[in-house]
Amino acid sequence: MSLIRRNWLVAALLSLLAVFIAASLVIYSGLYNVAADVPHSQPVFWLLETVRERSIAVRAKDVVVPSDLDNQKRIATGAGQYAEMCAGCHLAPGMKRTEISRGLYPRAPELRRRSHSAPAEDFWVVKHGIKATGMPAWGVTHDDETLWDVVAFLRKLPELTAEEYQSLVESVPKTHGEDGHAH
Amino acid sequence: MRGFVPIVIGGIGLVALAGAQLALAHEAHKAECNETTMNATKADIQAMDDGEAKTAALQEMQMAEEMMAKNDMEGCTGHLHKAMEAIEE
Repeated sequence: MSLIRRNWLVAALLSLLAVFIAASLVIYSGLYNVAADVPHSQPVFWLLETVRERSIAVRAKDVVVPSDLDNQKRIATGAGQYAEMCAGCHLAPGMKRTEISRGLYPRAPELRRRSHSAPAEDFWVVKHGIKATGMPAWGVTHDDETLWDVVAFLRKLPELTAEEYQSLVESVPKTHGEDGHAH
Repeated sequence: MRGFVPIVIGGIGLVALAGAQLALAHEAHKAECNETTMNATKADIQAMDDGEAKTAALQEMQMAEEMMAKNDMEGCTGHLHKAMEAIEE
């Protein structure tokens, strides 16, 4: 092996070792603050957001979106589910910010504001949840049809006034008991 | 007398509505400049979509932090409230 090539190899190995030692120090020293009331630095936030958005986009690509998301019955049913399962974190028209919505980090997006995500991606997120956030995988306890009802409602939600939202929620029976289980 | 009652009821309703608006607005105005509130507001700004409101919120937040560093709590609070208003837009 030539001297130049050997020096490059040694330099590369030493660099890898330095990165390994630095990473171990960061991990085991507890240096990084995981408190939910201290936001990530902007570079870390960008990294986590980008990883999340790309992961969802890639996995939602094959989701087949039903053609009846504008169906009023779907939207009304979805409103009921949203009120029971989602509004506490994601809020609803006319709602003040809840204690949980103020304490969650990353923040649960306020879905009453205009969303830029596609129905397939919304469905994927509702079904599978998102690791290391407060977003649960509702697919564990709810069938796909129910989740599509929620997605149908999410598309309508930014257009609703507080009164319209309340009226929609009251038009469907509750499906969750006080213990959170369906009857 | 018959015409007077609806006017009174309408007036009471208007006062109640105005009070509700003020109550909602004043929730933000109770915020003080301390590390917890600043961090919470930064987290709220991080969650915003890119746009004018986020830019305005970031600018106000930066000024709030500068005021806090100078120990000008009144200045800090003013900018913090503006940042919160931008978040609510």
